[in-house]
Amino acid sequence: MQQPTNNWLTKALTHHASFKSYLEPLVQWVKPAWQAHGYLAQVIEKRRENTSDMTLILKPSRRWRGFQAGQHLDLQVEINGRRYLRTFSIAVAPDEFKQTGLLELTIRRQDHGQVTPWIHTALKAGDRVIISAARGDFLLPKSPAPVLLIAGGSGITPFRSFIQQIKHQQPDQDVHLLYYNRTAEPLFAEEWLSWQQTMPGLKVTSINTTQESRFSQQQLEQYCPDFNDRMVFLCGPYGMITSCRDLLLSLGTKDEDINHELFGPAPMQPLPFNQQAKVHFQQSNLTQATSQQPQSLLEMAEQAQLNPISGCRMGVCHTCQCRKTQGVVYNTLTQQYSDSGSEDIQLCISVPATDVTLEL
Amino acid sequence: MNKTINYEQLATDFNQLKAETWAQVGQQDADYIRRIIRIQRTAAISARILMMLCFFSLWFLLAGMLLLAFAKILENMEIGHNVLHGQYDWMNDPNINSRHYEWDIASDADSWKRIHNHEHHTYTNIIGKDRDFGYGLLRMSEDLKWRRKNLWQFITYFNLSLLFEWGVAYHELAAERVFMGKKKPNRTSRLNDSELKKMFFSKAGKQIFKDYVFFPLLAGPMFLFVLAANIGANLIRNLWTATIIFCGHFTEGVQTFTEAECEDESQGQWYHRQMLGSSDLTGSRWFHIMTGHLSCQIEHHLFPDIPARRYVDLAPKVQAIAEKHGIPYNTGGFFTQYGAVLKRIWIHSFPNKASSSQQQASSNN
Repeated sequence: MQQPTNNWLTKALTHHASFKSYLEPLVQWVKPAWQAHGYLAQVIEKRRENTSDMTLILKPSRRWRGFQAGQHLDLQVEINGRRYLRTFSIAVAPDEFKQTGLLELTIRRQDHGQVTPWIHTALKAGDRVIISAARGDFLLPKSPAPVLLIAGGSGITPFRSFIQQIKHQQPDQDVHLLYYNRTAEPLFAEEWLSWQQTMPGLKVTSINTTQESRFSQQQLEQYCPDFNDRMVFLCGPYGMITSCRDLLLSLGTKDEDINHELFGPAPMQPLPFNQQAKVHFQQSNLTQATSQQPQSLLEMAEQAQLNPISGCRMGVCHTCQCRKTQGVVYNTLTQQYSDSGSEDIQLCISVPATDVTLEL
Repeated sequence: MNKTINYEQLATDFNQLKAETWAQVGQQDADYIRRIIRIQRTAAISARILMMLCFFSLWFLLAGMLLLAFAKILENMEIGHNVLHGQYDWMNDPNINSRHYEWDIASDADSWKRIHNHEHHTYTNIIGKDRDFGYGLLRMSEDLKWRRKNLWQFITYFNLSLLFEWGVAYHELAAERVFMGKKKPNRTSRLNDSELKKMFFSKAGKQIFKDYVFFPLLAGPMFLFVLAANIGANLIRNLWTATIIFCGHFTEGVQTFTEAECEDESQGQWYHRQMLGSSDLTGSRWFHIMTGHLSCQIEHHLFPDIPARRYVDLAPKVQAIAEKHGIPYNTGGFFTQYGAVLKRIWIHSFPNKASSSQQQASSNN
């Protein structure tokens, strides 16, 4: 929920970046959950999927501009006075949304998380939340060519949007879903069965990883021997995506035929360098040394009691963008080193590679 | 410093109180600051409208001026000062955050944060390090050398109070000798002179445009009246803020420190210095709010980033800890404390009696 660029007159008259921000507290008198940036959405229903997953059914305000199959959005909730931002894939098809006006977000409870347990237990039907515009370039292709969808855990959610959209537009398209999960109750299992009535080309293979091994060449050849004739889409945690990708590439799948979406932050370890650095927070005049465990700059700033504005904590929403005045940081998402000069970086996915100075 | 105080225990006591208070901070505090902002915005907008109604009666002008002064005081003290201290950063709301907030005063928020949050709050009342102690204009302690200009410092004080927002705005530039004076040899500022000038004129320009050009012009033929009401509102705000701030650090018992005393200071000693360097005011709920809870200056200096509305409840607990450790706790009603401030300014207008007799004694030898 980015702020618009500053305008001299607005700044002079309101001391805020926009008139809307200045008036936000007054509008909230009438509409308590309203915010100058982002879109209001009402919780219509919470649908339990299994012991750990729940689907939030939301009705966004009419101003919300819609989405494409596979995109995600930021959900902002306020828990005990503090705003939290988390990114979720939209689990419903755009064509379905056009008919019902309802969005679905399937959310897995992270037992040690700050937000998902609260969404599971405290958020009620009728409550209002703030959502961002839809974003993301992990999209369903327009062509009716056969596809292989490989999902891990809650990475299944954008594929539900894919498959439902195919059901609306080309129900006879050849779709193979390979779903790796750890639960005895895989998500949407009954739905696939009923959708197969109208979708002759839909094939679903559910693999319980507590009983079978994870992704392997043997599995791939057994369940989907024609994988090299398909567009491949991967969605799931970091380890699953990298191992699937490496295997597919070694089996001759072309790089441009593999699309992927990462769920959850990339692991900080192992880092390709020996991390021993100091981070200087300029405005607060504090210095923090890196610890043994690799930590993001966001975690280090929080440890120094700085409370910088933060969002998804996985490099998606850009809320924690901050000016680095000097030093090199390593981006755990792109696995790239930054320039050594002054530039904006995302704190949550940056690890100091040298001594770093931040405008914080 | 005092040898009989158990500084480790003192630090433990205060850290525990701090942790207990932080554990309670949450929804109530978020609701509170949003409610105050709502009242402030309503007052500011109503004041601007009232002033425009001075076509009908000049009484509207007076009401508008007083309401604008109220809105500015509330914004500067309870909202601006406290938000810029980072008291509400935990809310993760970009509009109520110390890194983004800009206030309705001539001083640039970033400049104020550099000087106030770091220098004044870290080196509170250390002569030579805390430039808030007398602002380089007033001699408020015997530890400062007497100069001829101190003879008329009572008048200087009154002028400073009237123009207080400009004093605050110019503070960093004065410290860095941007326009005049000899540059300091070991300059630490990371901004050069032209950056400091640009920042100063940019913010000052916006304030002057808003209060003294835009709104008066909007009133058309009533330009001069609305201009006068804006000047009036700013002067009232300046007098009030200056008065409250002087009551926080310059009352009778407030002590000063030397750089040598504070070298290698422990956390307990830091807490101790904050208590000796500040004084509280007693008053009603709205009196505290209008001072931005700087009426609880001692609590604010001990815990500058705890939401200020908590200070009133913290005060008796802090006083109990002070009593336990035998540390004086300086508090009193507004008129008593302000009387003490005026007395202090007056007394230090003249050279020290003790030291001048010492000088005589040494010259006699």
